[in-house]
Amino acid sequence: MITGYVVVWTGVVLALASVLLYALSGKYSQVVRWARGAFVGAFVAVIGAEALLIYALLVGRYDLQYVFSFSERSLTPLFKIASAWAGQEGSFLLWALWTGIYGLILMRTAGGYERWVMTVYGGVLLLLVAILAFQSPFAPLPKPDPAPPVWPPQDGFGLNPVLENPWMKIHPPIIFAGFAALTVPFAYAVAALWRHEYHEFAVRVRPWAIYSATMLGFGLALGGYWAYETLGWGGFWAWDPVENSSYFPWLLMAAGFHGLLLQINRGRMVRWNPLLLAVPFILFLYGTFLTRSGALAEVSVHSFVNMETNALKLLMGMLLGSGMLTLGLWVWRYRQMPLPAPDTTRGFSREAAVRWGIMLLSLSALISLIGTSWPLITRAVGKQMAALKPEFYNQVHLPWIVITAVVLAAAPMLSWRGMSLDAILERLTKSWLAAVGTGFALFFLGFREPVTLLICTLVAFTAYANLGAIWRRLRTSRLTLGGFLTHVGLAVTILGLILSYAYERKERVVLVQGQDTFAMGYKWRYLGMTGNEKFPGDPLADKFNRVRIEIASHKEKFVVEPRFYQDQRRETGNNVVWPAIIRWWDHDLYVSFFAPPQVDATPLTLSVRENEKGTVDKYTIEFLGFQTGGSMGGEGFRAIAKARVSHPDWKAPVEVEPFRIVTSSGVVPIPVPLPDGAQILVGQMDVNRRQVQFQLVMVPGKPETTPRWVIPLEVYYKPFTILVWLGPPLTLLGGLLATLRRARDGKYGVARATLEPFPAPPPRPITPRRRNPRRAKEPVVAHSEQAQE
Amino acid sequence: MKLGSVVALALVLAGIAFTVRAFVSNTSPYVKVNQLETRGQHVHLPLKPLHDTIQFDIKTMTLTFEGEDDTGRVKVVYPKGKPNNFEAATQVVVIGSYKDGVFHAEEMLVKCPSKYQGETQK
Repeated sequence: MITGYVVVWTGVVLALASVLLYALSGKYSQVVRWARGAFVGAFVAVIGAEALLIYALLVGRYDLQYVFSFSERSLTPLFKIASAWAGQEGSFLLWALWTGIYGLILMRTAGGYERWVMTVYGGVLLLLVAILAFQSPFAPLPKPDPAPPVWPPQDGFGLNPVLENPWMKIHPPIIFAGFAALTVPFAYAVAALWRHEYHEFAVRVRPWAIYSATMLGFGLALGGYWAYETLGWGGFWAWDPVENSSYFPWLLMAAGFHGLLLQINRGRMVRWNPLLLAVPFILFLYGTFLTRSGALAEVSVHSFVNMETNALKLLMGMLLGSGMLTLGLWVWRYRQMPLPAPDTTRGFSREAAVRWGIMLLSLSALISLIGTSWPLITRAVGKQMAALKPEFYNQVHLPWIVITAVVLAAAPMLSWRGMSLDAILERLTKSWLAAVGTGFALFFLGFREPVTLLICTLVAFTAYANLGAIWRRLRTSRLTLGGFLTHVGLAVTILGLILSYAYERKERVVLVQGQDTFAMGYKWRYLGMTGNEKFPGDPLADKFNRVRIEIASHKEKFVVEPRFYQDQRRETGNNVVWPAIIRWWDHDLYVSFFAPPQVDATPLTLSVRENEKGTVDKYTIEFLGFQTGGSMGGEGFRAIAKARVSHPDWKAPVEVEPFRIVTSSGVVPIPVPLPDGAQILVGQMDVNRRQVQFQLVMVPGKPETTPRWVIPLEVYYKPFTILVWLGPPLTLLGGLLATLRRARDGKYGVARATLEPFPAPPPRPITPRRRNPRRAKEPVVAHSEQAQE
Repeated sequence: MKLGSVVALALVLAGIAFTVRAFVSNTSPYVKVNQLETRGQHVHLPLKPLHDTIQFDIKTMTLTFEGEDDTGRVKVVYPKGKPNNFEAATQVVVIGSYKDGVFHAEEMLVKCPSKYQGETQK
C-alpha cells in the first residue's frame, strides 16, 4: 500500500521540520507559525495512517502483511478496528496517535514554554513516526514460493482468540493514552533544565503529570480485569515483566506529581522534580525495549516478536538519547538550581508525609525495576542468568504496604507546618475506630490470618481517613477532593486484591461425564458442549464452544459455561480457554480449566497367547492367530488378530478380526462390534511371543469402559473481588478532577506559599486565542487551598 | 528530630535487609540440562519438549515428557495437569528441582509459536 508509506514518510518529514523550526523560533519568532503548522501536519499524517490502516482492515486488504496477520473476514467491524492495535506496528501507531493528540493540546497550553517543550516533544513524535516508517503496518504480504493458486489471499489469518474479547476494544487505547501522556512531563522536564527555569515549569507540568499517572493506573487496572476474565489463571496481577514495565513508570509518575505538590506549596524538592518527571518516560521506553527486543524472551510467559532491526535501533536510540540527555542536563544544571526552601515544619507534618510517600513510591518502583531486569543484570555481569519468582514481589510489598497505609492515612489529617503527636492522634481517632471495626467485622466473617488482618485494617484506615477528608471538603471546596478520592480508590483496590488473593480457596474438580462430583460445597455435573450441535463428534472445533456444567447446592442451582475450543488454524491445535465467573456481591466463583478436556475410557483388558484362552469379566477370548494385510510397514498396513469370543448370555461364540492399521497419523486400532453392543480392539501385540492384548469397550453395565468426557476444572472461591472493580473508577475520577483543577492553575497562575509567582505568559506573537476565563483575565494570585492550612 | 532520624535509619536498614533476604530466597538461576547434576535444585530450565514423548495420565493429572536443549535431554514430571497450550509449545520453562534422573517441575511456563504478544498461559 503505497499511500500508507507516503503518508508515514510525510509525517516523518513534517515532524522533523517542526522540531527544527521550533528550535529556530527563538531567534526568528515568525517561524513559530510554521513550526506549529508542521506539527499539525505531522499529526494529520499520523491520523491519516491510522485511518488508512482501519480502512484496510475494514475492507479486508489481505494482501497487506499486517491485515493478513491480525484480521479475518468473520470478525465484527468493531473487532476489525480493534485489530488495528493487535500487532506491534499497530500499537506503535496508536502510541504515535495519542502523542499527536496531546501535542496539539500542549502546543496551545504551554504558554511561554511552547518553543522548548515542543522541540523536545516533536522529537519524540518524530522518532515514533520514523519507527513506523521502518516497521510499517502497510508492508505487503510476501508472496510465498511456490505461489498458491489464489493470490492475494482472500481471508486473513485472524485475530488471536485470546485478544478477541471486549477488553481488546478498550484496554489498549486507554493504556496507550497513559503511555503517550508520559512524554509531556518528560518534554517539560528537559525544557525546564534547558531554560533553567523551574517555577513556571512546576505549575504547567502538574496537570499533565497527574493526568498521565491517572490514565496509566486505569489502564493497568483494565489490564488486570482482562487477565482475570479471560486468561483463566485466577488472578488480576502476576508480576510478569510486561505488567511490571508499565507498573514502575506509573509509580514514579505518581512520585513525580507529589514532588510538584511539595515544590509548589512548600518550595521543596525543586532540584529533584525535573529528574523525577522525566524518568517515567525513559523507564517506559526501557520497558518497551525489554518486551519488544526479545531480551526477556526466556523469562516471561508472554510471547514476543522481535522488532525490525532499524526500528529497534531507533527505539534504543530513543532510550539512550532521552536517558543521557536528561541525566546530562540535570547533572550539569544541578549546582546552579535554586535551593529548596528551608524546612520549617515541626513535629508531624503533611510535608513529611508526602516526602515519605514519594520515597515509598520510588522504592517500590526501584525494586520492581531491579526485579524485572534481574535476568539481564545477572547475564550482564557474567553470572548464570537468574530470575525472580513472582512471590518475591508479594513478600517485599508486605511491609511496604503497612508503612504506606499508615502514611496515606495520616497525610490528609496533618497540617503542612506540622503538629504534635497528640493532636494528630486525636484527629485520627474516628478513622482508626472505624478501621478497627472493619477489622473485627472481617475477623467474624472468617478472615483470621493475623498478618493479612492487620494489613487489611490498616488499608481500611487509609480509606476512612481519606473519606473523612472528602467529607469535610464536600461543604467547602469540592474541587480539592480529587487527591483524597484517588487515595480512597487505591485503598479499596488494594483491599480487594489482598482479600481476594489471601483468602481465595482453590480446588481441582475433575468432572467425568455421567457422574456427579462434590466440591466447594456444591454438586457438579457435566451437561454437554454447545459445539456438539455444529460439529458432532468434534465439539472442540467450534469457536463458540461452551462447556456446560451444572452446579447445585441445596439452596440454588445454576449452569456455568466456561469456553474451550481448539483453534484449528494453528498446526497443532492451539487450545483456547475462557474461564466462567459467577459473581455474588461478596465473592466470585471462578471456574477455569487446568488441562484440556479429553475423552477417556478404561477398557477391560486381557492378554492372550496364540491358541490360548482367557477370561475377563464374563467374556472368554481365544486368540486364533495373526494375519497381515497391505504392504508391510507402509501406510494401510494392517495387523489383524483373529479371535473367538464367547459369553454365557450369547447363543454361540463369535469370530472377530479386530486390527490395527498404519495411517499417516500413526497406528490406529479399529474396533469390531460384539453381539451385546460392546466393542473389541487390539492393544499391544507381541509378535515374537505370539501374544496379544485385547481391549473391550462400551461393555453393557460397565460405564467406565465407555468413552466419556473428562473435564479437569480448577475452581476458585475469591472473596470481595467487587472491591477490585470499585476502586479503580474512584481513582480515575479523583485523578481527572485533580487534573482539571491543576490545569486551571496553569492558565491563571498560582501563588505559592514560598515562591514568587511566575510572570504572565507573553502574549502570543501570532494568533492570539480567544479565551473565556471563568475566574479572571489576568494571571492572578489564586489561593492555594493546602497552603493555608 | 534526632530520634526521628535514628528511627528512620533503622527502618531503612531493616527494609534493606528484608528486601535482600526476599531477593535471595526467591532467586532461581537458569540452567542447562548438563548442569542439573551439580546444581539442579530450585532452578529454571528452558526446554524444547519432544512431542512424541508426551504422556498424560488423566487419572492422576500427571504429565511426563522429555525435553532437550543444546546440551542434552531430560525427563520431566509435572503433576499439575497439562497446560492448555502444551501441544503447541515450542519452548517451555520448567521450574523445579532435579532428583534421581528426573526433573520434578513445580511450575511450567509455556510459550507458543504465536506471533502475538500478550498471550499468557500459566
